[in-house]
Amino acid sequence: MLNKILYDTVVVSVAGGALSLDRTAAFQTMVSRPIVAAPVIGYLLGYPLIGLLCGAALELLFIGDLPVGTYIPVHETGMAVLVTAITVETYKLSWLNLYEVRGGGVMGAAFLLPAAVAVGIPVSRLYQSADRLTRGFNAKFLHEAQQALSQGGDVNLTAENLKGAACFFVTMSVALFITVLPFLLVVSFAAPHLRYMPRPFFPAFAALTAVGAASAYHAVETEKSLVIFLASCVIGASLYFVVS
Amino acid sequence: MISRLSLIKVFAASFFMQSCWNYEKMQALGFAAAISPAIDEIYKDSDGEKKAALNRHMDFYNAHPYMAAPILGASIRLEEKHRSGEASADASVRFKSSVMAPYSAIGDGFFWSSIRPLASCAGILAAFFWGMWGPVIFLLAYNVFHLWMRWVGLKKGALMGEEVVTFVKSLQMPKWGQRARYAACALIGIGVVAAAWGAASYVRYGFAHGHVPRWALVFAASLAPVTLGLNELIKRGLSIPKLLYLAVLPLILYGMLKY
Repeated sequence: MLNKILYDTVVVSVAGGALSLDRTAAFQTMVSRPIVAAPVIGYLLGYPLIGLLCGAALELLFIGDLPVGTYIPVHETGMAVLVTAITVETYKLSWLNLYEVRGGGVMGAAFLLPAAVAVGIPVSRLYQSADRLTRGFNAKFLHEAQQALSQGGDVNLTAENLKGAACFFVTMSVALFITVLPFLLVVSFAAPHLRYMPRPFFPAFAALTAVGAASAYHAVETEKSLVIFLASCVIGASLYFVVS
Repeated sequence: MISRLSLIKVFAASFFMQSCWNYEKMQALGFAAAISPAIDEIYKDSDGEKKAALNRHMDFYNAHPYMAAPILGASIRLEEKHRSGEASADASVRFKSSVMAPYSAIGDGFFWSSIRPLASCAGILAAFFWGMWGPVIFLLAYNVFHLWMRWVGLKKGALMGEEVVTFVKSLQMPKWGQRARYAACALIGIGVVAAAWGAASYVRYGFAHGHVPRWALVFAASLAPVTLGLNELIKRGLSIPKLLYLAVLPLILYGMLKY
């Protein structure tokens, strides 16, 4: 079992490091966002739907955290990796995976999600620190390139630039490895004792959803938001009653 | 204008403009690396001028990564003009310095504050109804705008030079960003109803199997007003992590006691 945990940790750390490049260093096509990254991690661990659940919840929570200027937002990619790994491994090692009826599998994972998010938030500060460390270190490549140019030598600017991306990858992968592994080890000991559907955690999941909805609303709030929001609630509810 | 091949190389390199982001000159090295295929072509006969051009593009630079495309294109055009004697050596650098702040504000307001939340809401709603299509719809909804700006912005900049500001102005991005936020708000409203509908299904399931999930009933009935109430707390300065802990931690403890 320990070998499996170690293997899973290495896989999600490398994948998470690669996905987090999209945040800053490369592409910015938003594959680093939780709604994409978490299902990828879930797929690598064997449960893409649980990853999707984790990703959707985290996406909602951090929809409005913006990389403006020098501000480094909450590392949502790191959180997506950590939260998904904890949730999936707990689900796999507990008795919840026996509840494979009426979507019971994903429901069981939903009840685990609030605790995973609660531990993920303080840990994500480490990922922000890793990001800051890399940005500080990257000045070295800038100086090397400038020195080479000013001395009239040939310099491959693309290669110097990509070294920065390599640094982002390495620091993030290491940060993920050292944070995910202890949690998965704890889960490997605690999860087998989870023998019943944890329905008492539904209120926590409901609160998580409500906070996510509020965060999303706040992110797009304008002077007409209230009217549009209430109108769409009424239209949505009417459609529900008509369809059902 | 530079050759199509060089333009494509610049386009590809622009995706790595933030690879070496640092606190000293921010995206300077990335910008210089991105413009280097064009500089290689423009100054192919003069190694000294090529190095001088690359050196001046290693100055401090920080802008929204997608709005960098018209800046990049215009800088290429200005370097061509300098080569032919129509512009001074520092014309491109002055142009970059003058537009990077306002373009960053436009890009942040349009892409980060409007399009990304809209795509996220669409993706989350799609995930609720159609599972794995959620991430696909999110990526499609977002990258249509993203990739269009990168390619068209670069081409227009390379054609128009400094006049690319009229092109960017014509896009009316603040206005369309506002509309995107309205659309996102509508999707959030529909999402709240969908979540309440999901909870109501759970209530029916519970009743059918002999237990009453009271919490699910409360959730289904109150999600919309609770969303608005929590939003008021966020507006008063409560951060999302703190709100999460205030709302969720006591209920996790409740769950642990009842389990």
